[in-house]
Parts: sequence; C-alpha cells; structure tokens
Amino acid sequence: MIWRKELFTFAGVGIIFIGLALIAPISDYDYYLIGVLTSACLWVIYVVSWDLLAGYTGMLNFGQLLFAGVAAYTIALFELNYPIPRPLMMLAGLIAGIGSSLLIGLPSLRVRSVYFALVSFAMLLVFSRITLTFIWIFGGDYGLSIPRVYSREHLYFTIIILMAVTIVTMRLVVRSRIGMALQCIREDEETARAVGINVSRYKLLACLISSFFTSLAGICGFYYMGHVGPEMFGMMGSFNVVLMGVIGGTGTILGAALGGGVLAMVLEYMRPVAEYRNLLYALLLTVVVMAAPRGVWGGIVSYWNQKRRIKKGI
Amino acid sequence: MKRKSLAFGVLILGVALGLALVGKAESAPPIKIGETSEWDYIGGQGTKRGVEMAIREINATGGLLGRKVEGIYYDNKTDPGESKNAVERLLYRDKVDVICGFWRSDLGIVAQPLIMEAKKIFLVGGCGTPVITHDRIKKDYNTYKYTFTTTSYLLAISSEQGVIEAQKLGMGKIALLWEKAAWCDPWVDLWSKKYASKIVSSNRFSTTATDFSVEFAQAKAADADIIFFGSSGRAGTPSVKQWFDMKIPAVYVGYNIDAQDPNFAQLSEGKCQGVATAKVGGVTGLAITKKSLPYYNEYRKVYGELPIAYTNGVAYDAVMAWAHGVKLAGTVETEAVVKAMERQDFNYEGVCGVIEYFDEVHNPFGGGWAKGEPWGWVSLQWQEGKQVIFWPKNIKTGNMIIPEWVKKLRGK
Amino acid sequence: MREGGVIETVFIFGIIWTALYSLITLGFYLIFGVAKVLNLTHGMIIMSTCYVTFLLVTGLHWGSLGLGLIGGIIGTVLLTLIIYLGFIKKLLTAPHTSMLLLTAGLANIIQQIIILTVGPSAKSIPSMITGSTAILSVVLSNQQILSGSIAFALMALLVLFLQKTKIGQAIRGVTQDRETAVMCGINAEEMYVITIIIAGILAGVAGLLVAPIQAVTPEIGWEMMVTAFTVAILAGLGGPIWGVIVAAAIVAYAELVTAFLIAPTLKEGAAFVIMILTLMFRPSGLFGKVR
Repeated sequence: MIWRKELFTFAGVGIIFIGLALIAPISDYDYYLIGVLTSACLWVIYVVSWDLLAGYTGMLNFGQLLFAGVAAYTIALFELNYPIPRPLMMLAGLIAGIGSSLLIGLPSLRVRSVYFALVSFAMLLVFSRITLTFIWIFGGDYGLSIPRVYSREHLYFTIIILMAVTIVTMRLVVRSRIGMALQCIREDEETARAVGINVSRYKLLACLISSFFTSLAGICGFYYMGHVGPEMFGMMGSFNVVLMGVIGGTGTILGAALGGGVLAMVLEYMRPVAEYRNLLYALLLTVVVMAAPRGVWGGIVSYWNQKRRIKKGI
Repeated sequence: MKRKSLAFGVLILGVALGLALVGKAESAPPIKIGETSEWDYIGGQGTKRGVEMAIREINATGGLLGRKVEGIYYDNKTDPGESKNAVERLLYRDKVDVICGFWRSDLGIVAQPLIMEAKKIFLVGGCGTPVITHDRIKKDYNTYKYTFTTTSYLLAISSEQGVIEAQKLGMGKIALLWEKAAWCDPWVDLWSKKYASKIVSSNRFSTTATDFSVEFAQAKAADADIIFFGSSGRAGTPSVKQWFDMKIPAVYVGYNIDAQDPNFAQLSEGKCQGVATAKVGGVTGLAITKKSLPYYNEYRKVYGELPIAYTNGVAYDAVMAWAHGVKLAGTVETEAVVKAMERQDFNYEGVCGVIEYFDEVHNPFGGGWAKGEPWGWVSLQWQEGKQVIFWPKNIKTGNMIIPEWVKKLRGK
Repeated sequence: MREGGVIETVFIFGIIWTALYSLITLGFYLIFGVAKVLNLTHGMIIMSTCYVTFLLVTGLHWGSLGLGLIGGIIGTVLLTLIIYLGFIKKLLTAPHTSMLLLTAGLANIIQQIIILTVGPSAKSIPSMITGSTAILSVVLSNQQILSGSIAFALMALLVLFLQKTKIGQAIRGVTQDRETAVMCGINAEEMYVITIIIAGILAGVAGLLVAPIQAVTPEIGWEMMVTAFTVAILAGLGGPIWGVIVAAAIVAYAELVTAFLIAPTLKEGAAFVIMILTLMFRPSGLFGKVR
C-alpha cells in the first residue's frame, strides 16, 4: 500500500539514478563532472538523513557531519595503523558513526529541541578540538590521508546507488508508523507521551537511522577524497547541511534531496562569483525562514495542491 | 591602367597573406596555467597575484615558445573538498598545462596526488611542509617527480636564526612559545631537544589564541631572555603588543606573520622595535637579486599596495622557473620539462634568489643559501621602523640588536 | 614548567576574564529574559562593533580613538535595533527553532558582509592605555586592567539600574511574568525596545573592551557567541544578573585551568564541555527557572 503512494518517489529516484548512471559513460568519464556529481550525491545523503531528525522529529541538528566525521576518522585510523580487511574496517567505521549519534541522542532525550541544536553544535566543536590537539593520532590540521584505494568510477556508482537507496528508504520510513510517531513527537512531545508513544525510543531510533546513512556517506566520502580532516567537524559543513535542508524544504525528504542536490551543484557553477556564495546562502536561508518556512519544495507542493483544489472546484 | 590594377591586386594579396600569416600565429592555442589557492587569506591571495604577475611578465616579453599564456584562477575556499573540485576542473575541464597553487600545507597535501595522477607539473605556491616534496618525492619518485617548489621546506630554520643570534648577544634562557599545528610540530620537537638545557618555559598555543598574558607571565617568572615565538595565524600583532605592554625583559624572535607586513610598525603601534621574524627576502623591497626591486615596484603599480605575504614572491618565481624549464626543453610536454628542471645547470635568477638547481627533492638551491638552508628565506628584525636583514651572511643588511627597553630591564 | 606564580596568575587573569565574559553575555541574557528570544546574532554584533571602530580609527588620526569608540557603540545599537525590529519581531510567534535559524542566518550575513568589505585578515585596534602593572606579583597589561574594571563598573551600573529605577523594575517585571506585568500597565513592547538598546550598548562596549586585547578577525563573532551562550545557559536563562557573573567565573576559570593543567589547545573545549554537561544534566542552569 505504501508502495503505491510512493510510486512518484520511486519513479523520480529511478529516473535520476538512471540519468546519473548514464552520464558517466556518455561524458566519456569526465573526471571533473563525475567528481562534482559524486560530492553532490554525498550532500544529498547528508541532508536527507538530517531531514529525518530535523524535519520529522523536530530535532534541529547543527552537527550532522559529526557522524560522518567519526566514521571517516575511524576508517582512516584503521587504514593507517591496523590494516584489517576492508569490510571489517567499514563495519567499524559504521559502528563508530552510529555510536557517535548517541552522544547527541542521549542528551536530547532530556532537553527541548532548541537546546538540542546547541548540544549538537557543541559536540562538533569538542571533536574538532580533540582532532586538533592530539596531532600524533589524528594528524591535527593536516588530517589523515591515504593513497587512492577505489577508482573514481567505482566510487561514483556506489555513491549514486547509496543515494537512491537512502532516499527510498527514508521515504518508506517516514510513511510508516515510525514516521508518524516521529511527527507526533515533533508536534508535541507531551501529547505523544500521553498517547503512549515511547518518545525516548523513537528519538534514539531516528538518531540511529539518520547516522547510519550519514556514516555510510562519510565512509564513501573518505575514500573519494582520500582524506579526512578537522574541517569535517567544522561549523561550515554541518551548517551547510542545515541550510540545504531548510531551503530545500524540511519534513519532506524530497525537499531535502532537492536542497542538497541543487545547492551542491550551484556551488560548482557559481565559481566566478564564489566569494558571494556564502552570503547568498545566508540570504536565502533568512528569506526562506521568514517568508517560506516550508522551503522551496514545500512551496512547490503547496502550489501544486492549490492548483488541484482550484481544478476540483474547492 | 592594367598595371595599376595589377599592383593594387598584388598589394591586396600581400596584405591578405600577411594577415593570414599573423592570424595563423595568433591561432596557436595559448598555454594554460591553472591557479588555485585560499583567496580568503593574504597568503593565498599572494599566490594568486604571484601567478598573475608572472603571466603578465611572460606575455609582455613575447609569450612562451611564441604562444600566449593564459591563467585560470579558482578560489579553493580553504576547504579540501573545494580544492579537489578546483583541481579537477583545472585538469579535466580547462585542461591546463601546469598548476601552481596552495599556500596552506594541509590543502596542498590533499591536492597533490590528484595532480600527480594526471601527470601534470605541480608548482607549489607557498606550502612549507616537507611532506609535499621531501617525504613524498623520496618515498616514491616516479609518482611525485612532477612536483617542484620554490618554498623551501626548511623555512623554519630561518626563524631559528633569531635564537642563534640572541645567544651570540649573550642571551641564553629560552621561552618556547609556538602554535600547535602540524607544520611546525616536527620543528618544535627538534628544537625542544636541541635547546633542552636552555629552555626555561615551554607552551604550545591553539592557532586561534590571541591572549598570551599567562604564557608571558610564566616566561617572565622563569627569567627567560629569549621569547621564541611562532604563529602562522592571527597571534602576531596581539602577542607583540602584549610583550611590549607587559614589559617582558626578553628579545622576541621567531616566526610572526604580521611582522612580515611592511605596515607592521603601524599595526603594532610602534611596539615592534626589536621584533625578529623570518620572511622571504625577495618581497621586502630590498635588492636580493637584480629582479627583486623591479618586481616590487611593478607590483605596487599593478595592485596599488606593497606585497605583504611571502607567497607573492615564491609563486612568481615558481611560474617563471617553470617557464625557464619550458624554454630549456623547447616544449610544454611534461616529461621533457621535468627533465629540464632537474638539470644541474638550471641557473635561473628569480625575485627571491638565484636557483642554481633543484635538488633531488625538487627544492631550490643556490644563490647565497647553502645546502641545508632555506632558499629564499631571510631573518629580519624591525629596527627604527624598518626591516633589517641579519641572516644569511651573504645578504644581510645589518646586525641583530637588543631593543633599548629590554636592555634597561635586564640591567645591561 | 610550573613556576610558583601559576596559581596567582590564573587567579588574577580569571578575574579579568570573568568580567569580560559576563559583559559579553549580558546583552544576550537580557534579550532572552525579556523577549524570550535566543538571539544568535549577538556574537556578530559584538564583532561588528570592533570592525566599525577599526574602520573609523584607521581612517582617522590616533587621537580619534575616542570618536571611534563612540561611533562603534552607536553603530551597534542601530544594528541591534534593525535586527530586532526588522526581523526578530516578525517571528516572535514562530517556533523557537525558526528563530534559531533566522538569527543564525542573519549572523552569517553580517559575517559575510564584513569579509567581503573589510577582508578576512586579522585587524588590530590600538590599546586605550599602555604599560603594565603587577598585582600580587602577576604582571598585567594596563589595558587588561582597564577592560576588566570598566566591565565590572558597567555591570554594577546595570544591576543598580534594574533594581532602583522604574524602567529597570519594569524590565524585571516583564522578565519574570509578562502577563502580570502587562496587566499592571507595563508596555511590554516598549520594554523590549529599551532592553534591545541596553543590550546593544553592552554588546558594543564588550566588543571594544575585548578588541585591543586580541586580534579582530571574522571568526571571533561565532567564538564569542559560543562563550555567551555557554555562560548564559550555565547561569540559567531567566535568572538573576549575578548568576551570570558566577557562571562567567566558572567558565573563565575552567578554561584557564584546562589550558594550564591539561593542554592549551583544549582551552576552548572547556566551554563546550560545560555547555554540553549543563544542557544534559541541568538544562535550567544554576539559577534559572525551569522551562
């Protein structure tokens, strides 16, 4: 039943996926293009995972990249110091990333969403300081680098598959009972509790799911860059995730995907006026928050619905 | 009548042929130099301008191998992800022939493998880390041989000269006060061991710290007479002002980015008397080579201000040295240029010094700097509002002094 | 190396930083108390005072530092008013998260404008007073003593203002219980605006006292914001003013002790850890009301 409702999503994702898959051979494996698309897809995964927490559960996360960073650093440490078989390394990275979500998940059980935003932000900064202080372990401002392990093509296809899977899974989750419970929690925690929803459990579940995909993306991102550094725990990256999510449209998954994809691509094409990019983003954020809180996607959906209603004569 | 029309026809033909020939020469594709650096910082901006100045110079003197040179510039926003995109765009979209860039070592380290993979020459635009040249070229010559630098990885040695001179002047108690950053970690370890018996106080501060009251107080309590200070960030001016205000009776030497700025006397409210730092001599307005002053003056004409960061000099020299290599090789083709640049008789006179040759890890050597010394770097001290070079021997313009107020406090 | 003077050094510097951190936090704290708004632009406002002063001072002769300072404060108050009246006011009824996003966005806009106009390299503001003095055998620069003293003096004035004057008491009324205050005839709207102005002045002065002690770069905006809300949350939003001083002392000393006993680079981390622990175990802070 859910499947039928999500036909639109599946179709859309499917088309985009095929398109991306074909671009590679069509462009004759243009490394630049593949590179840009790869990082755009990673951003989409980050923003979509973020949306589950922020848009659906009301947990405004200013530190989404924490999970990705922890996963990436874990793998980097294994690669450089304990070369166990890669699948095990990735598992370790994944566990570490998901584990780090508890660092903000557990405190969040006791505080309101506003404070959660601050905790998530503060946690990022703590990790940033740690990587900068213990230089002999984490490489300090140089970070940790490894030589190329996987080919660009390999990574590209893996990442677009991951992106497609993430979007589809998230849509299914939010349409399911889990999603409804999360939205109840977002609207009014007290009432949700009163109705019998185990708020703590669902919040943690949201953290786990969100960090699962973000960690996977972080791992892929690490192999793609061949590097992880303290910038992963910097304010800019995670704030960009928030930006993309809010502008794209929170609470819809697809809006987040739109925000992530479009803004990441805009990043590249705005090279000539790169200096103004951050200002433009901040302006967009402000405008969206004040005038169109449902974001671009929300705006499109509203417009669409309105048209339909007019057609139906309501 | 017929003769006139014939003559006229020949004239037209001649002009047409001439134009066609000229047009043909113009239509040889330009040589493309890609640049990417951290435009948000004066270091990165210096790299960009150095490259711009070099390209102007080359085009003004007839181009390279008869072809015009074109520069393509991207800001890497001081971010590894952006750097990757910028480099890949230069390599695969703009299809440049060579890349010059990166002032921040951490970004250079991440970007270098990408350029090596594409087998294009990478001219280091200011990174001072040994990893990019010394470590990597030694470990894997075949992959990294396309990297050349004009920023010696030994630059920290020039900041140490202040300590050595201070010792000659009778000081002997060092307060080691360096930032905690990957680029200087190995040096600080080295110095901690080398001067172990003389270090009376030691502190590593965060790269964003700007208040050193407690560290200075500790140094004073330990009766230090040398403050060996190192910061590649914003600590330069505040630390000097605090040193002066707190009347710490010690000479202030080391690596201070703000002290490289020609306006430092004003920035520090005149408190800079006696402050020593390391800098690339070529952009201090002194005639290190016969090209230094013309470059300095031309720079001021083009940009309306004096060069501040050392990258303005080294990036320029990097591109010009590469151009020299291209001329020697007679082609832009990478392998040939690498061979040309490795020649022992390379002999190129730049703005920062003379490159007699690039050594086995592609660092420049010669012209007043011996082996094991940081090519291009000088140690200077602020005296009466002017920068006076006191090291190396062949280039110095004066001797290091102890500021009067420090002398008085120490009862000399 | 541990010299005998470390304890005195930490003690004395802790006092100075307590004063400065308190001042940095107070504007933010007051706005929250009165309007219940977490104004994330606060740090940027303090930073912009530094930049306005820098611009005024570098354009003019040395002796005009005084003019620069006054100009800086006036500019700050104007900026605070614009932000409040033009933006924050419109979203007072929206969920708190929207306000966070809005003020974060505005803060970034301010930061980007500064980067684009003045440039990202560090700037320096001349000290108001030179020389140094020793207190308890700890050497301080006179600027630091001056900054600390002015900060304390201003806070004392603020406390007096809030306790003794009619407007001050009205503000306290609105902080404690808005509905009742309105019923008693207090114009809440007016109180908001007055508080905004006071917050602006406090932010402006805070910026000017801190700027000569450290470099002015576009990053200090967020750095000060983090300090301000750590102290504010530790004190407990909605609590008394002296709570802020106590919280500031805790944060200042925690940082100094961390720097000296653990690692200097973890100094800033101390504030983050305090914030996280507070939010986890005592979200209402030390003296605040339970929210």
